[in-house]
This record gives sequence, structure tokens and C-alpha cells, in this order.
Amino acid sequence: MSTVTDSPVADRSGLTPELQAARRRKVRRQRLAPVLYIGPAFLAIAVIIGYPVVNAIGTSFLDASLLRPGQDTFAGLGNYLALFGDPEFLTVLGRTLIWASSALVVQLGLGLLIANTLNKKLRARGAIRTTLIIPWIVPTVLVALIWRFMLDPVSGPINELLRSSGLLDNPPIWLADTRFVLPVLVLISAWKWTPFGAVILLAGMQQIPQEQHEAAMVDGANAWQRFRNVTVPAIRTSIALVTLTTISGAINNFNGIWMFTRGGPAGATEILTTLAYRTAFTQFDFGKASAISVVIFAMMMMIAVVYFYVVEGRKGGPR
Amino acid sequence: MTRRDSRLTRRQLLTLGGGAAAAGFTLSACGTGPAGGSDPTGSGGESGGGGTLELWANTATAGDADSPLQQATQAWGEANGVTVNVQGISTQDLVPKLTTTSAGGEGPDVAIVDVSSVPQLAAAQVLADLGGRADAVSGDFGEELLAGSSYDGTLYGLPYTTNNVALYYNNTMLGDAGIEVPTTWDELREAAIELTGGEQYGYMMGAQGQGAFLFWPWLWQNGGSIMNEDLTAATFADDIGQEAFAFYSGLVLEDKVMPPEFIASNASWDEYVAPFVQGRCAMMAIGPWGTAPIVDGNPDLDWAVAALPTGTEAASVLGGTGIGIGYNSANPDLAWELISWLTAADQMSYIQDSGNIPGRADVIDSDWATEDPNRQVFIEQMEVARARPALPVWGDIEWGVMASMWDAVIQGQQAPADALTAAAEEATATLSS
Repeated sequence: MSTVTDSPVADRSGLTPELQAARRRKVRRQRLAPVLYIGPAFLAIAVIIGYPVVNAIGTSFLDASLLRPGQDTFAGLGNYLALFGDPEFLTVLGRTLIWASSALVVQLGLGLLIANTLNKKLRARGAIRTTLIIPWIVPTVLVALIWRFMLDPVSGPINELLRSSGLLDNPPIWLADTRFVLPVLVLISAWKWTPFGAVILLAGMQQIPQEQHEAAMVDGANAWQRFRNVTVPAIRTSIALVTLTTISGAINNFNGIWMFTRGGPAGATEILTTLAYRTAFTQFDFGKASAISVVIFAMMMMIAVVYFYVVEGRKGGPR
Repeated sequence: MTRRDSRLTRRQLLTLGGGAAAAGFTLSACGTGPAGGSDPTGSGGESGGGGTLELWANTATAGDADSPLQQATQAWGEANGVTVNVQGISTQDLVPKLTTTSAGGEGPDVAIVDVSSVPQLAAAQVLADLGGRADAVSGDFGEELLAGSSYDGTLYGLPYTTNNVALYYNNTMLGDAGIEVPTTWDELREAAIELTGGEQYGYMMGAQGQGAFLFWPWLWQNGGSIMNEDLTAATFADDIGQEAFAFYSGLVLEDKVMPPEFIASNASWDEYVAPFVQGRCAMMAIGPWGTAPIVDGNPDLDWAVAALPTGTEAASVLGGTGIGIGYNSANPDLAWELISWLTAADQMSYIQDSGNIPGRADVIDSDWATEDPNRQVFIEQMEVARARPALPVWGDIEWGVMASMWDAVIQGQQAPADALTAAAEEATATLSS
């Protein structure tokens, strides 16, 4: 009995020492190969990303201004203390979180709705799907031009429609009204980015075997119950992926705000990235701007960690 | 020493780009190219042989291949066997790009920049001290204009173009209402109120930095000042300043004479001129750059330019461009030759063809000055136009502190007097930081 089970092992270990050594060399070579393949790319990434990251962190501890070239001094935690002691910065930090969570609610909600609709047998589904993806491929500069025109207080179609339909006699100046500007930018950014999430969610939904839906139908589940109890649990990974990319995309979204309002009016749309840009290129305070960048970086790292645990970890192995 | 400096600053540069890249936030909006200055056309640092000069200016000044500036540089280049590469960079990106490339030890040989950014570019070692080079020619330019190209009493450029802000008015609207062109604060206010009604508005104002920039003439006209003599404290919120600001903000808050969308006019002058061009707004204060959009957008509009209405004295705000040598230029002598040639009397037609007023003093008495009455207004106002304080942090004061203050006022978040006082304190704090 034991000899039978042991026999393959015995066969393997029955190799001559020379062959064993050769095998070990081969294994070593095989283990080394991926390192050699990945090495140059890894090195390039380390230089292009790693070096600047280290330097950004370094500069964030300096009193460094481009208006005083070559006169940097060590500031310790000075830049960070100044930031976190500044109510304005804390407001901007809070606004960044509101901006990111609003983006998530709108984009994930709409994304699920769109994906679920397109997952049914529709006529011209392909055409609809293609049309839907268009906003995603429109460059942000164009998005800004399109929406600035759409929302123009005098000649823009949206206010024109609101006036002519009698809904509002004096429609707001959307991009200059502190009450509306942030929600409006959330919606515009959703217009551009929702299709991306919808496509990922749709891909997830198409992996669900039709039988599961049919079984639920036989059990008497209505459309909402099927969506809630069959679709959503099956695409948890896709939802997590869209959640994390949406949050990180929103925190990093600079163009989507700068090209509309430059952080105004009266600071109503200032988020961390626009503040970092302003600090660096209006005030030329690179120490403080680096500290803000490091705060952003820390937030992104947290998201990345969550991503690896939730999305990659759940799959229990390499993709 | 210089070597060490440039290494340090290069590191800073990489640093910020890195922080940004690390955070994944693209700086695509802030520059047209890599900040490291890997420009293959050869910037100053590489030219060495004396055969190439790199000139940077904003897009409007650089223009396309047959713009007046490019014709001029080409003519000079052919005569001297030098290739001049003119690179246009959008106005908003020009200062950041110049500053970051220079921090990396690179940058153009010659730069044409807004006068208000000269002190900042001087301090940041983007522009080189002209030293004694300009001694022979500085007499050709007015004192206030030279002050606009100086920092700390040293000349960092020559005046290239000059401008100031005057009153544009719609002839038809004023004529129909039987209103004379206003010449005093009270007349301006009365005319603006009179001309406002229904879909029509009396006077245009700007938001953010535009609103801040356009306040200075009124401050000066009331006898006020932006900073004290030694540039250590903001003085614009003293009693005289408060009085001027009450008038200026009163046009918005009490008289409500401007098109409601003015609060969205925050960066582009196109937005600012639109109501006037559309014939919905009767008056606006703007520099000569307001003319082209009117001529292009509404050629039938009947309009003219008058001197700004005056307070206790006449004043306007001095704008325009200065032309200087890049700090890292390998060929400063050649760069200076180009600069002195471009700003010489014989080359004025190139600047005039671009629709700008040359910065030379002799332009005031020229036939060209009197040939167009609107142009003449701006040229006559040169006498009372004042430069803003020559401070490296000026950009942050005008387009940061003052812009936020003005937005808070027009958005109804802060009372004008409180806002102005707070802004003065913040500006003073900026000076000492």
C-alpha cells in the first residue's frame, strides 16, 4: 500500500545526482526568467514613479519656493502642520470627500441601471451600447466646451429650455452659483465616466448563467428581487472595482473642475488637486504643494490597499 | 554655485511632477509639454553655436507662421544668420511653464511675458538681469513702463507692448437714452442705472481675478494705493480704499447694473466682452484687447472708447508685455541683440500690425497714435496708467487673495468692507511669507 503511493516519489528521487543538479539549474533558470523579463520594466517604473514619489515626500518636508531658487531649508513637519492647522485646507479635504462620494453614488447607481437595462435582450443592443460609450471617449477639453455651451446662462440650450417651457423664469447660472456648481460638476463628470462603469458592470452581468435568473423566476422572484438577490451578489467584484476606480478617479479629477471653474466661485469647487496646482503654480510654494500631493497620495494608497484586499484577494489567486 | 542651485531646483521640479504622478493626477492642463525641457528644437542650454534662439510668448503674441512677431524674428534671423524658434504657449500656462523649465536649468533665450509677472519671473531666475545692457536704450521708454519691467530696482526686460483699461461704450444705447459718455464716478453710476432695464444692462464687471484687476483704477482714482512705499504692507483697505471699494462693489450689490452672468466671467476675457458684443450691455472697462472680439463678433455694433471716468484724479491700470533674456540662455548676447532690435523704433510697425501699442515713448506723438480715435484714448491714458506693485507674489495677491475676496463679495458671502479688510491682512501676510 505504502509502496504504491510512494512509488512516484521514489521514482523522482531515484534520479542520479547529476540529473538532480541539472534539474535544479533548470528550475533556477525558470525562476530567474520572469525576473529578467520584468526587471527592465520594473526598473523603469521605479525610476519614473518611485524616484519622484520619494522626492515629493522629501520636498514636502522642505520650505521650498520657486521664488527663492536654491534656498530650500528643512521644515520638518511644518508644511503638514500648516495644512492641517488651516481651516481652509480642512474644508477642501472635506469637499474632496463629498465630491468623491457623490460621484460614487451617481456613477454606480446610473451604471447599474444602464448595465441591467442593456443586459436584457434589446433590439439594437450593440448600437445602444456603442452610443453609450461615446461620452467616455470624449476628451475632457471637449467635455468642458460642450457643457459650458450647454449651461451658458444666456444662449445655452438648457436655460433656454427652462425658460421657454415656463419651468423657471430666471434659471440659475449653474457654473457660477455656489449652491449648484458642485452638484452640476458631479453630474457632468458622471456623464463622462458612467459609461466606463456601466461597461464593467455589464461584463460582470453577462457572466451570470441565464439559469440562475430562470430559477429565480420559477421561484416567483420579481425583477427587483432578481436584481437584488441574483445579479448584485454575482457581480460583487465588478461593483467593488467600479467603486474604487470611481472614488480614485474623482479624487484625482483635476481637469473636470479646473476647466469649468478653476475651483471657484468663491472656492466652492476647490478640491485637493486644484489646491495643489494653485499652491504650486500661483504661489510657487512647492513644499506645501508637495505636502498636499502626499496627502492625495496617501488617500490613493489606502484605496489601492482596499482594492487589493477586496478585488484581487477575493479571487484567491492571480488573474 | 549656479550648478548646485539648478540641481536643487531640478529636484524640486521632479518632485512635484512626481507627487502629482504618484497621486495619478495628470498635469495635462498645466503645460503643453514635459516640464523637464526635453525640447528637441534646442533651447538655450544647447544652442552653443550661436545659430539658434528660442523665443517664448503667449499664443496671441506668438501667433502663427506669418504673425507680425514671426515676420520680425524671421527678418532679423535671415539678416544675422540665426534661426529663431518662436513658441506660443497659452497665457495661463506661460508663467508655470517658464518657471518649471527654468527650475530644471532650461528655458528659452528670450521671453515675452505679461508685465505683472516680471518680478515673479525675476525672483524665480527665469529672466536674467539686463545689467548695463539696457543703459543706452532705456531712455526710449516711459518711467512707469520701465518700472513695470523691473524688480528690486533692476531692469529684467524692456517694455514690448503696453496697454491700459478704458471705457468702451455702445453709441446706439447711449444715444437712444440721451446719455452723454460719463466722465465722473457719479455720471458712470447714473448712466449705468439709467441704461439697465429689461434685457439690457448698463455696465459689465468680471468675477474672480478679472474683478480684482479692474478694481485698481478706481482705488488709484480715489487717491488710494495698493501697497506702502517699501512694499511691506497692503494699504488698499484704508479709508480711501474702502470708499473706492464701496463704489465699485456698490455697482454690483446696490445698483445691479451688470448682466447677471458676470459672476461666471472668471478667466477668459471672451466671457467678459460677450454681453457688450451681443449689444446687451452698454458699457465696460477693458484694455485694447477688447476691440478684436467686438470687430470679429459683431461688426455692425456702433461703439467707441473713452477715457475711464475719473474720481479725485485720473488713473488707469498699466498692462502689456515685457521682453527679456532667459536666465539659462547660453547666448545672452545674441538674445539681447534680438531684443534691442525688436524694440527699436524701426520695428514698431510689427507691433502696431499686431493691434498692440508699442512700449516706446515716441509712440505717443506719432501719426499712428492719432490716426484712430479709439487708439488715441489708450495712448493718451498712458500718462495716467500705473504699474502694479513689483512683487514676486503679485500673481497670488491679484489672482488668489483678491480674486477670492471679490468672489465672496459678489456671491453675497461677505460684506464688502469686511472682505476688503480681511484681504488686506492676508495680502500683508503673503508679503512676509
